Amino acid sequence: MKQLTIMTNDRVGILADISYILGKAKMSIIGVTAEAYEGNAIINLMVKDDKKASGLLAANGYKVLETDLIMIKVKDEPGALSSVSKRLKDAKINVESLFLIMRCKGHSIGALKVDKPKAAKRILADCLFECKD
Amino acid sequence: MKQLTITMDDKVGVLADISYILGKAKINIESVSAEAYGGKVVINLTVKDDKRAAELLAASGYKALESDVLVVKVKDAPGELSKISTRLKDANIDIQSLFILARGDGYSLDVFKVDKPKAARKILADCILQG
Repeated sequence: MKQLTIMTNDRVGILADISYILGKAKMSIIGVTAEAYEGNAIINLMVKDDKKASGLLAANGYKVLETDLIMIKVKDEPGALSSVSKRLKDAKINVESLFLIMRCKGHSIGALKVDKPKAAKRILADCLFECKD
Repeated sequence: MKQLTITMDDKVGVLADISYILGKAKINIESVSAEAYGGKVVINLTVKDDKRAAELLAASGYKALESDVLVVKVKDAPGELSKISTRLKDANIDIQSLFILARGDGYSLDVFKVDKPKAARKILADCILQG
């Protein structure tokens, strides 16, 4: 699955604009984080049809960076993130971005962006989550 | 609900360290987002016991900024985020941070941090869940 990252100068209404563009095209947002930091806004999006979303956003003047995400499924309990992040740290893999997509039935599904995706997939082979749709 | 934000220099193992501190204290992370940007990393956490988590992190040298957030319940359908964010935009309210806390039963719980929390609460009164 791909993550779409948009970096732009922060101003009121960016999220309204981006979510309007996607909503109008009937695209559901699976995951979203937005963070304003030192005058910039960083918006991370996950949608099913990342190509279509990326094209729509580009047509509206947004520069979109597409990156591969690693999806993991872990137990929803204290220490679960710790064991995953420790394994990455021990292999000197840097986590560039992380967010929680959903929690259900005692599990959480998270999306990670790392600097060494191949190595990370090998290390986390036992908890990788395949998105079926 | 409070959000804890930790901003610091990015290095391998920051997330491992923070999640270890909380896990050891049996504090469950309800939601987390991390973003590395220009050599810095911004980590947002929500936990049930935010005071205790902030103290534990401070004791390990992490300065956690606590901020009030709004939890909004919306239908899990295309265009729903657009409705909320347009209402905020029309009132000239800036969204400083946003993430999805949970999804299920056709709804999603979204966590917003805004520059004018009072005004935002009034505007979104019909879909605010708590806080």
